[in-house]
Amino acid sequence: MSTATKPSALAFDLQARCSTSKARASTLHLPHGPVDLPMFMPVATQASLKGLTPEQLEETGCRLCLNNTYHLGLKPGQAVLDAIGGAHKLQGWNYNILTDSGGFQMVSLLKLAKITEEGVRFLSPHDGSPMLLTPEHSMSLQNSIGSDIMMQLDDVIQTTSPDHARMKEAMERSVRWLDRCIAAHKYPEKQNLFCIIQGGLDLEMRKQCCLEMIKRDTPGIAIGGLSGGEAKSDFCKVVDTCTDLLPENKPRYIMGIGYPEDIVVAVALGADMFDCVWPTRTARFGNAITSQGVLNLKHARYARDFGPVEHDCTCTCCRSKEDGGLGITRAYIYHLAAKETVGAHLLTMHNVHHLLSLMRRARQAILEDRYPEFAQDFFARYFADKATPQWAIDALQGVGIEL
Amino acid sequence: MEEVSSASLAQLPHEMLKFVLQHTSASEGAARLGQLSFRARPTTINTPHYLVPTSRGVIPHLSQDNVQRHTKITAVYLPLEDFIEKSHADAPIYSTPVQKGESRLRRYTCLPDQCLSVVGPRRVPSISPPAHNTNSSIAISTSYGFRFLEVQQYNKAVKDLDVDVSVSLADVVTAETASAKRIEKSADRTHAWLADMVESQRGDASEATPVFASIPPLEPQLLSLYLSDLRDEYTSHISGLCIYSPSTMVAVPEGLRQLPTICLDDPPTPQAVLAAIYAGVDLITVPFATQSSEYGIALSFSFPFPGSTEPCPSEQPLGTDMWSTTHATDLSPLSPDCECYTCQRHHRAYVHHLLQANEMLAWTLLQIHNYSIIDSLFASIRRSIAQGTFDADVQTFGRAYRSELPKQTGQGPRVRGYQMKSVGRGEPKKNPRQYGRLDDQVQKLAEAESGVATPDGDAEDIEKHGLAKRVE
Ligand SMILES: [Zn+2]
Ligand SMILES: [Zn+2]
Repeated sequence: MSTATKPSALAFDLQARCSTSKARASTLHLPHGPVDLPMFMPVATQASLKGLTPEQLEETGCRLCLNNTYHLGLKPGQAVLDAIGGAHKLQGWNYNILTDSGGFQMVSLLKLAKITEEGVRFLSPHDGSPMLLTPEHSMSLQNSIGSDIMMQLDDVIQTTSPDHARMKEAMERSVRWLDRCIAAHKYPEKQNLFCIIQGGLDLEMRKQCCLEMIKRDTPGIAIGGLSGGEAKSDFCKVVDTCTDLLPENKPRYIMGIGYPEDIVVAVALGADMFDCVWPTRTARFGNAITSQGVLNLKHARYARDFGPVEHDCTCTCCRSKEDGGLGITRAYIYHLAAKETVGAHLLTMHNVHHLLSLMRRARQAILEDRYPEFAQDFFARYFADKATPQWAIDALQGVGIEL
Repeated sequence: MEEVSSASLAQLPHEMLKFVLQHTSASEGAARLGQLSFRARPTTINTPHYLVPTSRGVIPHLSQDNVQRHTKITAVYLPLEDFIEKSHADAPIYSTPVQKGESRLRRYTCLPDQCLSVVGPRRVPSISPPAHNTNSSIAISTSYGFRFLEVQQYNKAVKDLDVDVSVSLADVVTAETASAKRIEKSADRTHAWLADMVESQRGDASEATPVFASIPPLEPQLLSLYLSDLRDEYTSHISGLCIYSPSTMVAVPEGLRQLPTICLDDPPTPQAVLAAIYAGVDLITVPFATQSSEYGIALSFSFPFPGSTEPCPSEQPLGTDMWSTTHATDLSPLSPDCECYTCQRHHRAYVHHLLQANEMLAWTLLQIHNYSIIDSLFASIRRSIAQGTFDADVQTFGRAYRSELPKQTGQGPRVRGYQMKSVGRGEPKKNPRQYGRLDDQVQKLAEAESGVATPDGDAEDIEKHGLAKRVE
């Protein structure tokens, strides 16, 4: 077990390394209990996960979920969070919470967000008046939220931006903003601040950023700017480059990544933590994630499919009544999808469970040193009726796994 | 202690269902205690009891695990029209594979074992279709629009689906301006349709579904012929009665009173529920529970009223509007002493936040709480009848509480066509889409969230909330 030398509120216990790839299995001890890595973190944007009660979320096995700082800052707002005593208390969730900085939400969601050395300038979504979010604001809000893991405010630009000078500016500014975040962070012994590696798709710049960030010795490290539509092969190169440089004794979090195939490859490249709204958002549109790929249960072909959402799935929704589950069928989800909120609740339950269970199986495979077989098996099933994407074949080959 | 003052066993056709009247007393109006049990079901229902209306087979906003774990709901009402899509014949529910002895309806909807299924043709409350019923079919509303459901189809459906209780078709006339001739036809048709249903149930008695005979909401004199026929010819073929308004109770003759009576109505308040029970109803739908949840209202009444109403009547609210910002930092439960999951694990501030943020979970947590309040209401009603204090307790309740539920101030879930209420019983309220300036941004933000979320908050809000500061 090892901890960062600076104040931190976590302990990272590395348990196994794949003898072929860079995959690792570990346990992260956080203020609200331990979590096993590699892991997927579902996103409860506004302190709620698509209609699931915290109890139901707990039942999927989730012990760390995300809240979005931008949204909680708007509703219920900092004064309320302070009065209540933080987001755990607000949502009755006794396990861990990770929050983003709020910056990404603004840049990606808001028109005319402009970044200056001071912070992110944007227009209020309601009345259009100009606003400014600084690293200090972000820390102060995340301190009020009380998240177990908080993220630095970073200067995010499209990774695919061809403007090299702007990219370099963003990377260097992110390092400076980390220093401001560290200085503004009120409770380093209670909440863990993670830095975010930037640098777009330029591997040299990424390396430089890694070295600068590592010097700041935060309890964990995130790789940012990778969910913006870049080629998957570029994504893999960035992850591969960064994990080569990052210290062994700290958790590595890739932000905004959540497709099962992306996660299985990124784990092989040495990443530990992932989050994405996709599994829960897609549930609302009737999409079920299975090991055979994604099924849109709103399609009429499922109207009379009386099998479970996924065969052999052990989630509450799929397990048969005889097995203590609900025995929900594809036909019934078809009947409910987009018409009753319960349809979304049930599929969310399944999708979150599916991702968490995929990660548990990945972890078990690493502990038993058979991650290559696990990855091969995953791709054989998930892409059973179509070709395995070339980027995945190449990336895995790079770490010794042949598909 | 529930004293048994008179007990009588209804003579039922096939003993699938047993109703034992345990306590009736002249001083309590027609209110009575009973016990409803089923040969094939594990649950026994103590009456008076509530029947929960479902939508497409689910209790709105409550996944089946939440029903099992966090409610005491033991009876649900399922309308057949919710399972019919483009046509009746190809409704997927009829293809559900079942083991021998298993109910197709229960398997298809994954209805928890604790819940008795009562099936009728129409939703409660239902929309009035633009078309009229015919002699052999009723007009229904499906998610694909209006359709006709043939009497034969309905009778076959309840058998195929193996429901616990089926309600015979009623020719309910909704138009207030209906002609006398049209109204007269209502009783005749309902009568004929019951005869058809009973006929379709002939054969193996052990496989027959208990039938509750519908009595349309008409003036007693228009019902007298039908009701005397029911009493003289049908008591050995029916297991209970189904009425659509508590006012029908006065028309029910002595020879039918031993039967359990369901009331498929939309009482606007708990006072109206008490009145229905006072009139002798055994099971009643209480749609205002779900509707309150969707309006963001946490029911807050208790029966009997715990305080004093002397010397003057008080104006206690029947519910709390959780949209009100007074709850923003309130860590207390929705109702003091409530033992539901919502009140035990969460607080007003969270429910308020979820409503403000348009998160679906708000409705789930409110449903758990509101059905817990309804369950307590009925348990207390039974206790009150057993103690012989029902009459007085109803009076006190009426003096203690306001005569209406709080008005809706916030926005509920999107209302779909098939869920709209009939005009006349309150105008249908479809939620208007609310977008401020910079619509495309707001739209994008909405997509990033759950439910029908649209964020708001002007610059001042954002600043006040510490999210950022305004710059010039
Ligand atoms: Zn499942
Ligand atoms: Zn409660």
